[in-house]
Amino acid sequence: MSFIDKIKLFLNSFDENEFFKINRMRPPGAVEEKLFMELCVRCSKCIEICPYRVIKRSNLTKNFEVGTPYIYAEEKGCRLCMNCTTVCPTGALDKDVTYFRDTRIGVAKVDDTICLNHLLYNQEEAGIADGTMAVCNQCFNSCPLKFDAIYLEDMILPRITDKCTGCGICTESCPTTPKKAINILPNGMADRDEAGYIQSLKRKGLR
Amino acid sequence: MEMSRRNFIKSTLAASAAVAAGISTSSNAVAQSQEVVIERWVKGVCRLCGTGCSVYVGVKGGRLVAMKGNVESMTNTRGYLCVKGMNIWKVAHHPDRLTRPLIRDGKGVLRPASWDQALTLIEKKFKQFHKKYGYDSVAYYGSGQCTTEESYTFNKLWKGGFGSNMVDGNPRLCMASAVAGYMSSLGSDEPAGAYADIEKSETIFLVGSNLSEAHPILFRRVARHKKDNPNVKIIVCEPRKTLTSAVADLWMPSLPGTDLAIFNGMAREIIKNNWHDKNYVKTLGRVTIGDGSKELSWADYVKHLEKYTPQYVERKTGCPAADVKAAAKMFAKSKATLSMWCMGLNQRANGVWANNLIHNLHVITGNYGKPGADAFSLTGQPNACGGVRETGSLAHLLPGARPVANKKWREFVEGYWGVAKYSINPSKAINPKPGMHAVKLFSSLGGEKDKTKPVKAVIMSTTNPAQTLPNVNKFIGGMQDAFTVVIDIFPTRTAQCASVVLPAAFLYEKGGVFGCSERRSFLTDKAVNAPGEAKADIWIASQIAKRMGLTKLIGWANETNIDRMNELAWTDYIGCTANTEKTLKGATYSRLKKSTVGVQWPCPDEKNPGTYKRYVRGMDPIFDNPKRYGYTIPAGAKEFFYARPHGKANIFLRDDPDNSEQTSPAYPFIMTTGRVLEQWHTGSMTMRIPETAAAHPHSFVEINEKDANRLKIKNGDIVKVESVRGYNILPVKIVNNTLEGVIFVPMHDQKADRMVNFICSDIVDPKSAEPDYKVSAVKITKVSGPKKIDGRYLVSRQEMNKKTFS
Repeated sequence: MSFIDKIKLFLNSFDENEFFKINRMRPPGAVEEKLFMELCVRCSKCIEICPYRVIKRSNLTKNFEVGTPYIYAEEKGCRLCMNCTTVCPTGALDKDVTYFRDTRIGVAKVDDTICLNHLLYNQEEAGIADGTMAVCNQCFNSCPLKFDAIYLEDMILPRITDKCTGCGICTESCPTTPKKAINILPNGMADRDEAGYIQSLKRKGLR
Repeated sequence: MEMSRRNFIKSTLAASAAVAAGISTSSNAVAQSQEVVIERWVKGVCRLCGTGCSVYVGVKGGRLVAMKGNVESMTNTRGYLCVKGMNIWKVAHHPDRLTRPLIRDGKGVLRPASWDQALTLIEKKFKQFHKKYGYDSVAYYGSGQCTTEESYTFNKLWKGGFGSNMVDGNPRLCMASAVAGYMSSLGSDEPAGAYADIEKSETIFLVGSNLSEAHPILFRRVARHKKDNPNVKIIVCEPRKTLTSAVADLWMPSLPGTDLAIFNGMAREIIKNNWHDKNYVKTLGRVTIGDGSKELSWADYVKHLEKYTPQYVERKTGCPAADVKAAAKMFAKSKATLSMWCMGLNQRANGVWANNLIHNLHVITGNYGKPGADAFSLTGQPNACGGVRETGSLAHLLPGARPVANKKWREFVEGYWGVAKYSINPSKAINPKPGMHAVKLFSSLGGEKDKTKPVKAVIMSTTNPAQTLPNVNKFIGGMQDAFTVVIDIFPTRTAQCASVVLPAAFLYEKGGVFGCSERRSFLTDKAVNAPGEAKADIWIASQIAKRMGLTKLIGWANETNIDRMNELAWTDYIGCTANTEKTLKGATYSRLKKSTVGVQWPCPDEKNPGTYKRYVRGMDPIFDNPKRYGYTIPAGAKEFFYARPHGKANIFLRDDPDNSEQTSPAYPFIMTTGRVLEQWHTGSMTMRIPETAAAHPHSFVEINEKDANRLKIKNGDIVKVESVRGYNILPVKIVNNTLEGVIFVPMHDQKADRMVNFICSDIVDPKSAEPDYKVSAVKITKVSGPKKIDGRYLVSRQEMNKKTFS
């Protein structure tokens, strides 16, 4: 782990500073990020109506984001009740997105270098064993669209389909530490450097 | 930031250590750079499901700090574990652990007491009740999670010492039907084969089992076998389309409670197409009905099956007629077929019959003695087979899983235990009448003022009936009024009803033998000391024995070293069953201490490696000297069901009665219950592991999308699921993997209005007395829109002082 990563992880553990928070997404139905920033009037209606308190107010000052709504999947993913889209007064959250299967917050991506099931499968294929491997399936089991949005290839390797809503419940329940083995690539984020997980992928040359 | 596998192991271990040490994991960056140095690895077996995964627990500074799989293991091959098994050690150092005996005072508050005070009170009450209400007024209710030594000690104390058969346990709620099924069909309890059959099978028939979540390690073996051998066929028969069905070539949906028709329908197809093994049926099959005493002809069986045409089956069960035909072909045409089932068949109003019908399919196709062929019942608890079935710690059994009503065997056990010399009961004998089964026991439990309730006291170990009994509302009052002693490691709903709570030692703090589903006994070594004043059950049983004047009956009552106590109890037990087919005579304590794979019975001597397959000459050591076990086996017989004089397996004529609760216009849905991968039983352990609690913090109800649309219910809405007995308030999870009209609720939540057993039906199987958890008629009404539900709920120490559940 590089020094920079260490610092980032360290900063990530502070609630006060969301700048380094990865796996943060806009609520369901959010329009394209640039438009969203123009339309969102920081009225907090979506934050108030969220029965699960998963939508949080941003305190980021950069780009005047302060007050806009975010979901932090590592704390709690979206439960897809679709209440928030019904109350947005400006259309920053699209009113027409009312059915949970139609929601596209983002898409989950499995990091197969740390996913427990991938590691177990690799050992199985290589014919080695050291007793440290465990069958997990927590992302699959917690997914509200099990089998549709996520399936297990060979009954073990989690694979994401285009039906993934990006709700982030898988990220929330993933047991690996300190990094989650399943992360959300948010849709509609104009400034990718702000979108946490994408940023780290970009640095690795994957995006 | 490439994270290699080695680094990953380091980091998880480090993070685990941080949790164990009470360090917040939020600064994981720091934790990750540390590496835990394990002082020693101590061998043991996983504390959770019945698979019996072999593990090592890592110890540092007298504390558990890690866990890893045993790569030599025969159960969890290559040492793979599941995520809850990998983390189970974390509960050992949880701050909620009970560390002092507690006695409930006049105001209903549990006050700390000394062991002497608690045991003196127990002694006083037990003696008083024995004198006033008879020896059957004091009961023991055990668990498939106690060690074999502990169950054996309590069983001996009650049946031999008190002359009372009021001994039952939670395996009554999970596998009594499988026991009765094996006994009536094959004559001897427990499977003929082993897990090793999975890799040798050509067709696997999974029924009434969500293997992928309830036994993830076995599911991995099945899935791997299928991947390596694509011609292997897998059939799954269950009402929900789970991950288990995803591996299947054929998913047979069936409405809960109706699958008996499917099994008969498959048998009819097999015989109609001439796929049955005529030779096997002739030499090893015996057609019968009812209790199995009357022999019928093959023609009677064929006639009986006439009714079960594929069309009839489709009408009754919802399983397409074509699927019944296809399944029958796959089942019969393979070289070796392995059936595996679990609670879906056992927890049923006609569970024994369902078990019989699976055995029928195996008899008519000759699928027992061949490698890869077996009718295998999976167990849900780690030591239900070894500790409760084999030691006979149920109301109707004696060690060796033989009925207490069997005079010859009863007299042998009386002699072996020295009941005539030591018993405190004036009859100086084991009671020939079976005691009460679990549901009856708790219906008969009550306070001294209640004249209708004959049972006045119960001691319960390692189980949580105030949450797990069906229609639990009916039993809570009795538990609160009676003198109840609870032995456990955490506060539970049952402890909330208790008069005395005794703090127990965790498995790795005491050691002992666990016997898993495949007849394998494995010894766990003591790794660390128990916290505070917590004690092993075997010590508690011994103290009670001493105070009741039974020191001589329990030969290890005066020992202080737990390891020595376990050794004496184990040696006593294997001596008792040495001349039964369940013999573990060769699995001496010192052999089990050394063994890293365990031993499968029958194992008559120390040189015997243990038995992979029973009833087959050359594999089963019973064939070498049948006289020793009281059996006669003809010299030419290659395969022989020796527990029966004729050596044949029964083919039962069983109908498909609707004994379960039926839906009605007022209660139109069928509710079924079950497990999820991350949680186990009442969640008292797994809800305390952050990793698994996060994945499944509370119960929910799975409703088919079409039903939800009809009821205008949205994802996340809060609904009331109600039966005639009680209700739950649950969030909705809309799915399309359950049948229409069928809803599913997991069973792990401790919150009062999410405890599913308030809803469950308390109809029991007439033969096995196992409750019908899988079929309850319910209605659903919307309570509110989506609402936040607080995460996991745990019964706290403070709540143990409250009378009502919250």
